[in-house]
Amino acid sequence: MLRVKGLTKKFGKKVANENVNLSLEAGEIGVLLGPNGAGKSTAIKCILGLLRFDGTVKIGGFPANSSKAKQILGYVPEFPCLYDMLTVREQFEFVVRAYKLDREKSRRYAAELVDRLRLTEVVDTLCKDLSKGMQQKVSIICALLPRPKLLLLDEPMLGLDPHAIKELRIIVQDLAEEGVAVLISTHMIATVEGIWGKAYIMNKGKVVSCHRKEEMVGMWSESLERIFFAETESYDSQWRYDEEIRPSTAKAPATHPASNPARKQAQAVSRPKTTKKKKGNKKKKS
Amino acid sequence: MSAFTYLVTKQWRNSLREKIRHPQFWIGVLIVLAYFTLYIYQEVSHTGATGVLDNAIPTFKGGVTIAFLIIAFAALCVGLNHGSSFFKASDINYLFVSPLSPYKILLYGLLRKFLLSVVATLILLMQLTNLRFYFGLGIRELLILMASWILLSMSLSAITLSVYSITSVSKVMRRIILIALYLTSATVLLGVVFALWQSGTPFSDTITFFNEPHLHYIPLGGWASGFMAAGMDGNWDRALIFAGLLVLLPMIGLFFAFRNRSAYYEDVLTSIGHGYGNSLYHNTSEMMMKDQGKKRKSHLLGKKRGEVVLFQRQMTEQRRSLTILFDRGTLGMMALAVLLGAFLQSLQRKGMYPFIMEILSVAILCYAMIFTIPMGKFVDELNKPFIYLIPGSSLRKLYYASTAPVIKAFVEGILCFVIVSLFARLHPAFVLCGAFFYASAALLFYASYLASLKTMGLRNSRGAHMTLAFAILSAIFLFELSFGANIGRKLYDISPNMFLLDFVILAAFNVVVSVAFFYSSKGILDYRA
Repeated sequence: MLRVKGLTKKFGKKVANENVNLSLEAGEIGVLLGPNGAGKSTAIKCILGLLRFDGTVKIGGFPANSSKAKQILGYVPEFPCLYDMLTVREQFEFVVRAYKLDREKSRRYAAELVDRLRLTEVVDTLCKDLSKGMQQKVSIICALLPRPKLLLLDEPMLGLDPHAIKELRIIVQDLAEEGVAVLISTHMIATVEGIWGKAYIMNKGKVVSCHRKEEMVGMWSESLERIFFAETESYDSQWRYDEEIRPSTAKAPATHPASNPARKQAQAVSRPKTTKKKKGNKKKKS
Repeated sequence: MSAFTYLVTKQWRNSLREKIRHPQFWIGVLIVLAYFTLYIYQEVSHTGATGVLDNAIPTFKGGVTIAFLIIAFAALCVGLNHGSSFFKASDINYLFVSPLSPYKILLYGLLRKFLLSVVATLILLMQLTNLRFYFGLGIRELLILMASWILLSMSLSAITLSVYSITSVSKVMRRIILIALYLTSATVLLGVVFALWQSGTPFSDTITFFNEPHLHYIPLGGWASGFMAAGMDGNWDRALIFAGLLVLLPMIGLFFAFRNRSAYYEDVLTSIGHGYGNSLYHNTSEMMMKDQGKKRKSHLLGKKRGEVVLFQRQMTEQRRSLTILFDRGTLGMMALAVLLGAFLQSLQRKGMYPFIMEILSVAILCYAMIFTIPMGKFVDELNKPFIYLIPGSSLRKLYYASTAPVIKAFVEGILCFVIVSLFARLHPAFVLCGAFFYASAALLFYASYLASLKTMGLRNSRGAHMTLAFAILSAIFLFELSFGANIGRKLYDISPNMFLLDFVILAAFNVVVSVAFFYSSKGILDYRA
């Protein structure tokens, strides 16, 4: 459903994304993890066609930015900027008209989502008068209304109450069962812990590693949080190790993540290519 | 009903419903109705009683040409530096990612801007009486003026959007276009000055000189002026050619801009800024690149603690943005001082009394300073939480929050009055006395603004606060005019140079009034709306 090949995005000389490769099949739930400034939101904006980039992005076989791709795409933005002077109901109606959806079906679906996310009391309130959490919920419903085949969620849980988070997790799982591919970019790892199928870890604009849930079953790094910390910390410390420690010391320090046997096991499964590359670099340097 | 029509109509309907609930809306409606009633009454009861100026129509056309050229230059500069203002963040979230045709989205943005321009142009109707009284203009002329203004504003918006988008791939290209714009404008200006000098036109006829048909060939500003002039003369063929040019050029630009849609979207994201990481990221990365190799001091200017940090922070920000005490406003004021100096020099040659020239220069520069004073920084300070949270006296916090711009105003005053004094050969002591008054006027303006905030509350618009502050300031200045005249006469009787003390006394009066305003408004820091 989603194919991203060699996506590179530069702001002047600053590289925000470098050779990012992603893929999601129908019914797959992917998570995009990474520290602040890793380039997750930029990558999502490139996929949406909001930023120009080098590389190729295909959504359902159509190039990103084409109207056919947009017809099957749903997007929950990082900041829920709604039309202030529309009521919640009118906001939904606008989406129905923009995507040329069947009105009756969409209204019923909207009513169902409104009920599930507990927005019934505010449907006739102007969006500017809603709290941030409420706006986020409206934004989520707007993204779901066109019944997209690919759903991009950029920090969707921010500002949501625990009930809404729980409900959103269920909705995402239901959508995945219906064959919708979902890509979630988030810092709140715990909120996607039980639902993810594929995890892309990003750091400094690059995809550091890709993990599949089924490959990790029964391993120490089955937990997404562990994978995240192992990957991002190791990436940084590896870099520090290569740049600073390696020239002056013969051996890697005992605390180095690479010396952890469990870590080695995880890397063998999840990241053989990256590990080889790093080793190659070390050899060259030594 | 299409999505766009639905969006526009619903938003307007809801806005109107919201406004109807507020009394300010009804007060505004009543004022406008009263104005038009008065206008119709005057038309009916005083037919033919006008005070049309000599050479009225050429003067009017010349004035409009000057205004259009300046507006075109300023709009192009702002547009090229800051990008599109057609869309909002909500448009990005719901229009740009939707399957709606990008051309229709752009058309929607243009039409929305167009409607706003039309509404803004209706303000011209408020000048109907004046235009009729002084220039003898009728409804037809006024409609042509409005049409030319709408055409110009639309054309400028579309052109800046196109050029910004087309050049977004290469920042160097954008810089070259900006430099070319500056050079073209400078060439046109020099050409006009040279032609004016060659023609031997007296200074008083400068405005009518701008009615020259050759100036109508200057792109955008000149074309709009040409359309208006030809339309008023009834030369519709010529008017349509200018209107066609004003429409055609932006259309070509938009066509090229839209060939690279992502670049265009990215520009919108960048120009909207708030809430969109890439804009901040973009700016930060540009800043980082610019400052590579530079050692940046990471601490605030000064070493004192307490409320004074508000002042130190502003000075540090000022230092990082440009030089410590100068900005574009200062340059603008210095340019005005040069013009004022040239004008006063001509008065001085005619034997004008120095004290009148001193009063004139202080009044004009202080009035102009109101428009260049960095009020935004003071407002920002009140919007940030620090001024409310840091411990200390409210009065001292307000004082330090306004100190940096007042010091800037003092230095600016010295520079401006040096220029004016050199041109008009005024007493050297006037520089210092004038600068004192100038700085105290800046302080008084901040204090008046604060008083208006206290009176109206923080929830009202900035425009409303500024209007009330301006009214307070005008009332104080009027009082100072009579107060200063009385003291000044007595001082002048002692010695003509003693008259300068009048400015110092009035400056002290300004400071006292400002402190009183600060004191009465300090309660504003007790809560944050």
